[in-house]
Amino acid sequence: MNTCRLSFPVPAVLVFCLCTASVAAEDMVHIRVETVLATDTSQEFDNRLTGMRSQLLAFRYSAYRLVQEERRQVEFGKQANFSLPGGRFLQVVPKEYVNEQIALHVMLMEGASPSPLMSTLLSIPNRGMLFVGGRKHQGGTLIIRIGAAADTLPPTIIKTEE
Amino acid sequence: MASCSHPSQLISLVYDNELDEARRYAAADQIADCPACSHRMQLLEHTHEALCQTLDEEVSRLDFSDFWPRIEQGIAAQPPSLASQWADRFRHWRMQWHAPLSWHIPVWATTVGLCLFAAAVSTQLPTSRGAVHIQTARKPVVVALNNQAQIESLSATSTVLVWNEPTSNATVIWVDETLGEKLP
Ligand SMILES: [Zn+2]
Repeated sequence: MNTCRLSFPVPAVLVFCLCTASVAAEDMVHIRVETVLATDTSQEFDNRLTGMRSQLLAFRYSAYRLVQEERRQVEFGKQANFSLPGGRFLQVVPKEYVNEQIALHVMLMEGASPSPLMSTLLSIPNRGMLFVGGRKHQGGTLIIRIGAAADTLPPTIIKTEE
Repeated sequence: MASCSHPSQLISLVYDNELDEARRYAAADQIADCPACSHRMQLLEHTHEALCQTLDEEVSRLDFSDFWPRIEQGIAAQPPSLASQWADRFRHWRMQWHAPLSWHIPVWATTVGLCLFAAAVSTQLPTSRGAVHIQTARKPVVVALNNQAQIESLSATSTVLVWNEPTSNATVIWVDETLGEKLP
């Protein structure tokens, strides 16, 4: 039978690489930014938002549509930049991970102004989230959900534009 | 391109490593001195690289998740079998798996040993960020039940309202100069 013959160090090297890769992956933070356009013009609820339906209902709009979703994997201290609808810009910098809390520096930029519209340093639980909202866009209001996880999740980058 | 008097097999012989050491060095020198051969060698390398990359991508796209279930379905769909048929299948299965798994038992022993060692080391690795420590043990992926943020600082050039959304207690930072009636 024609079997694939691996020479001695190959499995060992593979295992070592896998282990070091998994350690390196633990030093990354997975940031997920979902941008929702909330309006009162219809009763439409985007079924891609089913997972946050109960959260969105607290905002008291009648229609919600996902306009953008983006995931990034970023090292502590490094920036994750997200372009938002209406020429806005969100910057998230994971600072540290202590006691199951991820410290984040979140900045929301708008227009040509060099100073951020909003800048905050806060901690959220691992795999937790926060909302930044209130900006007007296309007759509605943007609600941005920012999630962060300090453990290994699928490192995919998904981006859906309207 | 400059004319080339080298036999066309020269490149592939070197590339496939089919020459002994002395001839390989001599051939490599000839290739290096000949622009036409160097170009062909480069082309071959690029083609090989592109091919490997494409194959890697294709393989990574393959979905093996339903491989065994489909085999099981296939077996189940067969007519009721006699004990001898099962014995045949078992023998076939053993022949298939015994050969690849039996080679170099020390290799697998070393691999398993290294795996255990690496696992032990990685769970005790001190992190370089001082106080920051990330546990390497896998936990089930669940979202946080209480999302309330601890805000250390917050500044804005517009009116800002902060509250917690009631179902998951997620903190909401509302940046709106008009502060509509939409707020809870
Ligand atoms: Zn030549």
